[in-house]
Amino acid sequence: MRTSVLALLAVVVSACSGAIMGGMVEPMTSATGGGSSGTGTGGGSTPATGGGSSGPTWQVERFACDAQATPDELPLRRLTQRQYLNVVNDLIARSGLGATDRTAVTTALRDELAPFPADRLVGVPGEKHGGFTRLDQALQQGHVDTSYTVATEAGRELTSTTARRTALVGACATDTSTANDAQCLRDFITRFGRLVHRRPVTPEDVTFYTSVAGTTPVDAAVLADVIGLMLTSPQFLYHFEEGDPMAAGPSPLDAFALASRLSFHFWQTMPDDALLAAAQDGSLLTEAGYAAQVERLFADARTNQALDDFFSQWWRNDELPPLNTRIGTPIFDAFAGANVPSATLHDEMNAEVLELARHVARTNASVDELLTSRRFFARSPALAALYGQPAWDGTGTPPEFVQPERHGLLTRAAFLASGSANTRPVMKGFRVRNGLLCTSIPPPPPGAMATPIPLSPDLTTRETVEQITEQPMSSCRGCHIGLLNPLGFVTENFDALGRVRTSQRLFSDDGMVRLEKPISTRTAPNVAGFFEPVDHAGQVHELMRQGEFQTCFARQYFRFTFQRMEDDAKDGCLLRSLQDDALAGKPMAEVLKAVALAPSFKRRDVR
Amino acid sequence: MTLSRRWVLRGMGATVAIPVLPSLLGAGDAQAQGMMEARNFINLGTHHGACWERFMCPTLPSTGVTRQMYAGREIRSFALTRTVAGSNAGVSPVLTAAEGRFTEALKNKMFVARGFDVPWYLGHHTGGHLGNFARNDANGTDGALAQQNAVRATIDQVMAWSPSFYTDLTSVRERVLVLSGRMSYAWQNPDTKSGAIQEITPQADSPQALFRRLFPSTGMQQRAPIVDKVLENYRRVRTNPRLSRVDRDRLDDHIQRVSELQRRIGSTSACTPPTPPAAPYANASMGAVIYNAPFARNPTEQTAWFRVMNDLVVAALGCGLTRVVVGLVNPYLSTYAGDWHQDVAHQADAADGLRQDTLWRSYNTFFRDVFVDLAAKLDAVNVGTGQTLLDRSLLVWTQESGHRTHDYRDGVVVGFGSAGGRLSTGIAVDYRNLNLRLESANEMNIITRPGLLWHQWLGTVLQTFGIPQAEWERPQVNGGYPDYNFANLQWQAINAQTAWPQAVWRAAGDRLPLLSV
Repeated sequence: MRTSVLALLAVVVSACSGAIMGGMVEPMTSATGGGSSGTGTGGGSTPATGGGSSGPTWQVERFACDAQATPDELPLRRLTQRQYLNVVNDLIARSGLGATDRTAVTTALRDELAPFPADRLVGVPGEKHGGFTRLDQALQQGHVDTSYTVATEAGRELTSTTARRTALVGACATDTSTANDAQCLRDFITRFGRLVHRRPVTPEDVTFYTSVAGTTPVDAAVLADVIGLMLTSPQFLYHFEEGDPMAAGPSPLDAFALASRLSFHFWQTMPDDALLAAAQDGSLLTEAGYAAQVERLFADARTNQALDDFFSQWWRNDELPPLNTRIGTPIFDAFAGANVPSATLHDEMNAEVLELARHVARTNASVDELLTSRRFFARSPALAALYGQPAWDGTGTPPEFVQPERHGLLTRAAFLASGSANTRPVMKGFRVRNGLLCTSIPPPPPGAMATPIPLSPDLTTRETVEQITEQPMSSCRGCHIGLLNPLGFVTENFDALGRVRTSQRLFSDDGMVRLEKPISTRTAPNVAGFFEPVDHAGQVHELMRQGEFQTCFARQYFRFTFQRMEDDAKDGCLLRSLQDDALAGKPMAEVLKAVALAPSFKRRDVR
Repeated sequence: MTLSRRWVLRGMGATVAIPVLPSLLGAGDAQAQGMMEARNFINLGTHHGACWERFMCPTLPSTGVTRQMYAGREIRSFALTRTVAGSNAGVSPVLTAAEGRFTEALKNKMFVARGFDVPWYLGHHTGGHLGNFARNDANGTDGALAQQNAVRATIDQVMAWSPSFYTDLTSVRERVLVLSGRMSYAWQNPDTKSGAIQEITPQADSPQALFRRLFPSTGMQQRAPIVDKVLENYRRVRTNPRLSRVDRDRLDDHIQRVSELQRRIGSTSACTPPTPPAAPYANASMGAVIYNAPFARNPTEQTAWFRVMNDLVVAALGCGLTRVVVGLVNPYLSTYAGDWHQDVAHQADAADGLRQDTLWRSYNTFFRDVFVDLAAKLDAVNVGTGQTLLDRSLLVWTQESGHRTHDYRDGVVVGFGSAGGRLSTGIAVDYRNLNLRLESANEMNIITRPGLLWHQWLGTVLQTFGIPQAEWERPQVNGGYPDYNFANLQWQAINAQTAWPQAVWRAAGDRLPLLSV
């Protein structure tokens, strides 16, 4: 029995990956089967400690470290949209203005900030799903235009009243003496410029910024222009990291550049005073001082935004559509019953899985816990009702799921809901295989979705998918039966709102239950080289944690951190380190912090 | 020529008084040749296509057909006939609108051209409308290859950065007014046409934001703008020896865009700003119009929003703030409540015709309440020589696919305006080779015959607007635009060389016959 199942799956998966050799079907091995493919250029693989319930020959492919390799680097990265918005708000907050004025300035800038171009998700070339907004380094006219408008408007707003000028620049800006004006302006540029440039301004900078002044250097219009110039400067809009172009290798970041890199990585904004002070006094360049700052930044709640961005984009939360769009149609209304979805239910579902990620990051739990945790984080009654238990109030230890069918990540509503009355097993499977396991899947054949197949109205969703995608000899069958469908079918014991079910109701067009058929979750997952049938998501979670999930995590976090795709050959050392730590079950927090502690995080190649 | 009159545009969201500007009229050689300047290019694209020809296309009449041999096939044109039924008038079921709006005169400024092909599998795409075939969903090997190898700037950007197009930038605030994402693509540095090709995000995503962009409040300027100093600062910083060469390249890209900003700030328009758009349309984005209350599933409100955008587009063109407008429109202008993509567009071929019915009626809504509205508003702007802004413009509606979704065969272009007399109007043109047939799965409702190349349409547009071919064509690869002639067809039973022989590829560099004057 085992042999026949293996042979069948070997055929279909090999067809999908084009790995049929000489007409002979080769048994699946780690190299062609479940191993992550990502986008890397390969590199050596060494034995791993995998094993577990997977096949006896399966082992996760390990990254190879070439210490001599020089990774590629990005030129002068611009701030992302989120970073830019955060920094503008932080500057206003640290401007010295009173609370009322800060609010007024923030409000005045709201419309000006709105057109700043949103960053696009940039992912694996050739794949249309996933990616991180941090990787979007396109420079658009909108970036330049909007930042200019914001800068000039911010200058006007911050200096529009005597009180604001006094608070921002000092009493010298509004006293009756003009003798101190020039020094007053230079002091302001030095002080405020340190925040804007995120490093001390140079004498040349001071000279340049003061060059816009006329005969009355601290006139409101002059100050507005100076602020406008600062907020359009490359030191403000870009991660301005200098080095030695003539050096033999990458240059270590100086203390202020390192402070910024740390701050933008964890907080998505400019360094705070403590971090700037650590850069100023040199302690940031000591091993202990740097480690202490990494600890401090990671522990701060401001890191949560970056965690949310990382996990929501890795897990493709944006693909969960609004769930209320079919309200009013007989089938959906009958399907939803008392659980009528609100316009925000999908956001609540996504928030729940992000809360899980935060919980794992804050409780010394391992990366595996993301998959296997049965903690329950639903805050809204509507979402909690789908789980069959009361909402969590957000205090204390989160409770566990009461439903035994909830095994972990894949059984949370955010990974189950579809927006219609039917589940979408193919898309569920794709999201897990491609998104969570980093397995590349060939594009569908031409016209795959354009030709309707006559179907019996008596089929369950699973049966329908099997009819459409698993036809013998069809070009769809290989990928669907080997890669996509199993990881969708295994959660078919949850409906399209994420509710537990044992059967599927089939509706007539007027919303009447016409038929009720038992569902089946039995499937051969092809994860970690395992092809035996499994019956529930918990078993799939166990297989995923044999190595593919952690390896995918390593790739994804690398991309998020360095804002580019990894190169397995050149980036292998850091990838291997991440992979090793995740596979060893280290706390996820330690793994995340380790990236910032790595040598490659603290240097830049400007050659 | 005395141009003292002002015209007034009245729409739902804006009222604007615009002086008739000499700069709007063009002059010189074109007028001397009896043509006026081809001034404005407006391209609205819609997702999916998949509308059967019997709903989309005017019917070939039995008489009055002009026939011509071209590129190895007979091509045909005939006068559009407007049929009035009740309060509506149309040239096909989709191309029908209120009789009082879609007048005989407006019909005579319209053309319908069919028989354009992308001769490989492209699948879902948004970039193909304007020539970047790489912006597709990589469904199928051909699409994936195009993602890698067919990355091109789109023709709107080719136009906008051609020295032949914007010869006078005095009033121009936006070289291209981009109304939606994923349609317009340009170089990282469009001035030098260097760097990676990247998507151009919309300047604004709501009528209010667009209004603010086009008509910024000018207030009292006490001092000169600081943009000159911003440029100086970047040039200063660029000399920092501790930056890498690629860092300086990056700063150069930024400097180019600051220069463009500097130009925009210096632009001047004599137009009085129109009345700002009002609620509930002002702050709604296109996405909200499709998915959120009170717009979703409410075609009346949806199309009202588009008409507000039309007002702003006409104001921008009339004031000379731009000459190019492009945007992708979600065509879900329908009360349908389900998954349009999967359940309507992908099921549009279903034999019962129910989804096709939903689909074509939504396209009709787009034509009737959005597209004709824009054409009529452009036609209401008299530019002073007995011509209207529409006469100087080319307004086109393009679709993602031909009569079957995922399949750009027999693509249809619906156009208004003669681009200053360079295009024939009041006609339908059919470029298909009726002696050949492209086999496909469902021929009950769709029989596809090979036409001319989409490249030729795009090249014709560029030539119509006077962009020298030397700027954008690589005839050693293929005629027309872009230079991408991938021929690895996978799913056509007919041989590619038979369907699209070399004669067709060579002809792609021509201006389209019958349509071009």
